[in-house]
Amino acid sequence: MTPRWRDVRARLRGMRRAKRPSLMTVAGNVYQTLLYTVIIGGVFVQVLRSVLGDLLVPPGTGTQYWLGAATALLGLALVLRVLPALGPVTVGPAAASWLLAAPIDRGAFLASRYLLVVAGGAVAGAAVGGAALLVGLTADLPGAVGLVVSAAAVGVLLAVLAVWAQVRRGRERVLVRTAGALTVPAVAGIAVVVLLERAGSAPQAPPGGAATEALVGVAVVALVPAVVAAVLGRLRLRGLDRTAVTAAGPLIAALTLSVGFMDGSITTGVSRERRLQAIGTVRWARRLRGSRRRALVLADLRRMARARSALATAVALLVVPYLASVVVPPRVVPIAQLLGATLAAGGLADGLRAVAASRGLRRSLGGTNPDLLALHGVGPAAVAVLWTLLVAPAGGSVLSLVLVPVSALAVVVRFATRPPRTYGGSMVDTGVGLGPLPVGMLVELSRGPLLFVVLAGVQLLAG
Amino acid sequence: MSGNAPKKPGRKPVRKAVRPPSAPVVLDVREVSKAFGGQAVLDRVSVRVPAGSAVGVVGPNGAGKTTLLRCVVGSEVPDSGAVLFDGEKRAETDPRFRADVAVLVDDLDVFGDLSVLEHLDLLACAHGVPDARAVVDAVLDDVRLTASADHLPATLSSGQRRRLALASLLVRPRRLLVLDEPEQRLDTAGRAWLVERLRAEKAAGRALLFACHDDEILHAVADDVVRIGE
Repeated sequence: MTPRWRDVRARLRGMRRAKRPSLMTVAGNVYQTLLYTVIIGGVFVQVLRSVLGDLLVPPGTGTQYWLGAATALLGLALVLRVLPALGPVTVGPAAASWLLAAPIDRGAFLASRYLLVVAGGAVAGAAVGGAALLVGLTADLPGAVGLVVSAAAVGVLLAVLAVWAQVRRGRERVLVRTAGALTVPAVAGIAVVVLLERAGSAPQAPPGGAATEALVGVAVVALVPAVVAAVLGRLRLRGLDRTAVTAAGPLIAALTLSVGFMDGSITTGVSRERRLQAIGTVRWARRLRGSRRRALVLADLRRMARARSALATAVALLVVPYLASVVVPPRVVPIAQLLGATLAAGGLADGLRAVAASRGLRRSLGGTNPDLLALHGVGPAAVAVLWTLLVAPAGGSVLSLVLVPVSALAVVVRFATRPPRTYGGSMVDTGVGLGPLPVGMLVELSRGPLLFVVLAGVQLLAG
Repeated sequence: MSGNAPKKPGRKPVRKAVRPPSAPVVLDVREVSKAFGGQAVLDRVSVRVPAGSAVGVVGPNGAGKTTLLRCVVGSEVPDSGAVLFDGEKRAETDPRFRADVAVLVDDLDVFGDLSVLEHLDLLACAHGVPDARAVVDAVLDDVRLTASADHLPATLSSGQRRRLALASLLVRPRRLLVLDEPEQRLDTAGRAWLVERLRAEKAAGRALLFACHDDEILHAVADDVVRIGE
């Protein structure tokens, strides 16, 4: 007789109960985590405030209103891009081996996971709505409630949309393309607001009354489809096959490992492999030829040209220093330029990272290590210089025209040439609730970011 | 040439090399020892590989075959003993060592964004191979990867990746080949091709040091065998 999922679940819970930590232990851990998060977050905010000083654009102005709206659109695009990659309804390897192979009702089996996804969507949406309140999207209570509720409803709709895409292969592409399509107007919107602000004709926010009515109306209208979609989504769970619920497993496992071992390269490696498998084949009209140096640089440029998302990110980042020029004091703008140049060049430094990390690659390519690193630094250096020139009108001195690309390249190289993470050696308790941490690992973690902080300080001094 | 354990009796004799007695020794491994955490993996292992000959390294799993090869190519540093190339110690970072030694040890490291063809073109150009295009086309055909020339390595099967790894050795100049179980993941035809190719390498005057579990390949290619961990 086929067992019901309810019976299987009861038995599993019974077995797990004995091994589960007590409620007090869990509550203690949660309290500790929250306490340290608040302390560290508070310190971070204080440091940020002391660096930024007073914002140039006070809350509640039209500029902040429209920047907030464009940023929310950008966040929406990001969610559409990320959610399908993470499942969102997934099962772990143990459940995949033992439970998916059993003839139990798959819809009932996946229901609790689905509920978590939908609830996560609602909470994340509400959090975004709350953040929008902070930038003055609305001032009165009905408008605030309307904003948070409608944002939560949008969160639920997005979660259900991702499950809908998960049910049938190919739909994921629709979401990814939609995300791409939303990114363009969002970035363009930010650029337009910044241009208007710099030209002295700041855009106006909609009148408060109208915005409140609109937000309350949207909340009421959005709630109904959100609930209907959540119910319909639950009914479609039976259609999720083994491939669909296990596809995100490697990425989630990599993410978990990355957090546990504080090593982001585990996740980036898995996501890069998925990206390359999706590309599959490439064709270039001309074969690589010529001298050693020419061939190595050309090959690196080809790789950069194929990293479309990194290229798109580099272009989108162009708006950051201009945005900074209307939001933060002028002395901070060069830091925004440095940050953007570092991210833009770093995103296109895959070749440098590969050569720095792989003894096998260096050995097969021949030549000396410094020669290989220098040749694979040409592309990122060109990106840093070009990017800096494009954002030069945003602010900063003539000196920063030199300092920004040089500093960005230094950070990228420092980051790319990090040795493999080690977890042995002396331990130190940082006093931030993470327990004893290996000193060597902390030194490796600071390699790159520490140089960035130092060079950002130099930028502040140089103006 | 000697390992850290005597030969087992009753094994087939290995076909001896037909090479001039005066062939210079390309690789000379002298009493190399290596231990991990107090556990000895290699104990005074010596190997000499003259030009135009092949030495096979055999032994059970965990015997230290890969460790020996890694010591030879500089991926591991021996605790004692010496690895001499052309009679002198050379660091793995020495461009002369990199120019002369073609290595297939561990998994193939690749640039994920470059196709099979671009990888081989890049290697040939990086080593200054004259008429690189013709060489690459010939090797691609030889390893039966022409149909996959535009594929990214991430889409290749494990056997195709092995062929790409072997091809990457063949498009560049080399005087010594160091191979760790080159027959792995190759189909029957691929193994037959591998035998012919390795014999051709010897005939061209190149030295070979390879670990192998396939007796047929070993007997067809190796002039001498060093047994470790038996």
